[in-house]
Amino acid sequence: MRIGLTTSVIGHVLLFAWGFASFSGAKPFDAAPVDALPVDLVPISDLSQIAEGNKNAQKSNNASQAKVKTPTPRPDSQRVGAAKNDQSTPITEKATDTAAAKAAEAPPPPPKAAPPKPTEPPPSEKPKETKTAALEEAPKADTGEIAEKIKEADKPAPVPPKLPPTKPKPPAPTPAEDAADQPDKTPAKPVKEKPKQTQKDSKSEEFDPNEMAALLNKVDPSGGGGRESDKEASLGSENRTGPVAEMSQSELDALTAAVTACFNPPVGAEGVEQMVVPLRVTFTIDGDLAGPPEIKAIPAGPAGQAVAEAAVRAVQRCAPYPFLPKDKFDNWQVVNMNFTPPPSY
Amino acid sequence: MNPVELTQNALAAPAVEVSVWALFWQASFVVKAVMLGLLAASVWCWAIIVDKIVAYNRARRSMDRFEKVFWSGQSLEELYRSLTSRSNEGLAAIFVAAMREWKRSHEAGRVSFQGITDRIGKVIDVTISREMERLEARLIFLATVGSAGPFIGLFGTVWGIMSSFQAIATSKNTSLVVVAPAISEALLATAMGLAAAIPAVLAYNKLSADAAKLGSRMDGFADEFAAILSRQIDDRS
Repeated sequence: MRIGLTTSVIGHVLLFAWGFASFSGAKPFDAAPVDALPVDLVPISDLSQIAEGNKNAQKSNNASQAKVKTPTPRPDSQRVGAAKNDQSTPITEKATDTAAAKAAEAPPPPPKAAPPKPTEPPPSEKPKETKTAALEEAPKADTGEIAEKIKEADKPAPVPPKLPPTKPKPPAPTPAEDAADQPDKTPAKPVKEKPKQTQKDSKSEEFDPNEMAALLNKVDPSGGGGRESDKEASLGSENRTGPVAEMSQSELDALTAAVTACFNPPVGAEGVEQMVVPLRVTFTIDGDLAGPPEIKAIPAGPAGQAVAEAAVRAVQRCAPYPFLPKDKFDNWQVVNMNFTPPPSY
Repeated sequence: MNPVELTQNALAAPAVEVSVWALFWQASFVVKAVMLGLLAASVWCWAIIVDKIVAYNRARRSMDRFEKVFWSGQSLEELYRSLTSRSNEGLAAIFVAAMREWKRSHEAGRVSFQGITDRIGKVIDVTISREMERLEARLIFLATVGSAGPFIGLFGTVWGIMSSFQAIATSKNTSLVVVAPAISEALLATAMGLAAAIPAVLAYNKLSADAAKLGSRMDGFADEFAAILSRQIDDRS
């Protein structure tokens, strides 16, 4: 027995020594770091406005799964001549090139007696392009001709006199910016840019009250409902009932919350939480009540009348609701609200 | 704040000691007792296993040696004389017991051979049962550990998890980092129970089969020897 016991003890001691050595520390899992989830707070009106649906619409799992047109990026502003504001993107050669091409196409430079190629970009732009043009023409003509052509092409550069006289800014200030980089380019550019820009500038600078009104009145007055949307209608009811048609959910929620805060449940009433009091409330533009709230239906139950009156009192007690947006007064002049009494604890 | 920083801060878990030794020391008193008991049981089980394996091998070898001598044609008187001087086990013990009974019956000068066969048979039976008892001693402990070890370990686990849940309830924190060491510590008890029980079960099955084999071998020899003795008695009568 002694042999067995000693063997066993020695074996266990060895086993535990090995165990402590090898299991001394558990290896941590190599968990890939999880990026923090960005959370956007979206106003509920964005959701509630698309809640109005069409029964024949295609069923989509996600209400926001509508076709989205990505807006085409606006071209960079090219206020070269009147750079009062900071320009984030410097004028690149590419932009000037396209502008130059347009200019070359649209107004054919008349002073040219016999332009060899009407679409040819004015060689005054870049020395490189003139070179390529020269190379192309090399088989046709010798260098003397090219020199002549270049001279001819240079002629349109001083075109500015052709510009409309209303142009508020002379082309002179532009060279100040660009002359440092591309001295050749400067004469050509004002030619292209001016016609557009002068119009814009004249509009923005002259204040015409009639024009302003025209600008402002482009939006038709709406009789409520959601904003216009190019999204597909979501599958749902066509009924224009409920708050969706009248007010955005967040505004109605704010109103309901304000009313709920003023609500005192009638003493001893039971089943108040299950009741719904449909009220018709008329407001003035200040957010005050235009008249006493109207109970459209008295909820069922013995305490129905008391609860409905308590709801009316609550609406009256909190009476001015200044948070209601004045510009949407059309929407909340008359509010049909389903007042749900808060659970009393 | 940078999301990457946030993530890293969230992942920086407190360093928790999770080695086996630390788990043992963190355990509550009951779990510690269970684990120590299981450790002792395991030690004792392996002691029995080693002891039994050695003992059975020795018994088998001595039986082989004795049978070789017994069937070598040596005189039984001489064999008996050479064996009585030392303590015997196995077949030798049976032979010595039977021969002693035979000799006593003769040396008393009795001429009656009436009950001698019965007496020799009884002596042989007693010797065989004594030998079997010696061979199978402590095997029952293996069986007990094999069947009860997992339950004991499970008890430790249940107790440990119970107390760890109580600790969680009082600390009001259920993060996995807080919960995990306590549960791991509790599970250690089951692991030890299984570690003690599995070898015990396996060894019990093997050793009891070996013991049964040795017992049947002794029975066979006893029958043969009884036959030889009864033939002698018949010859003399």
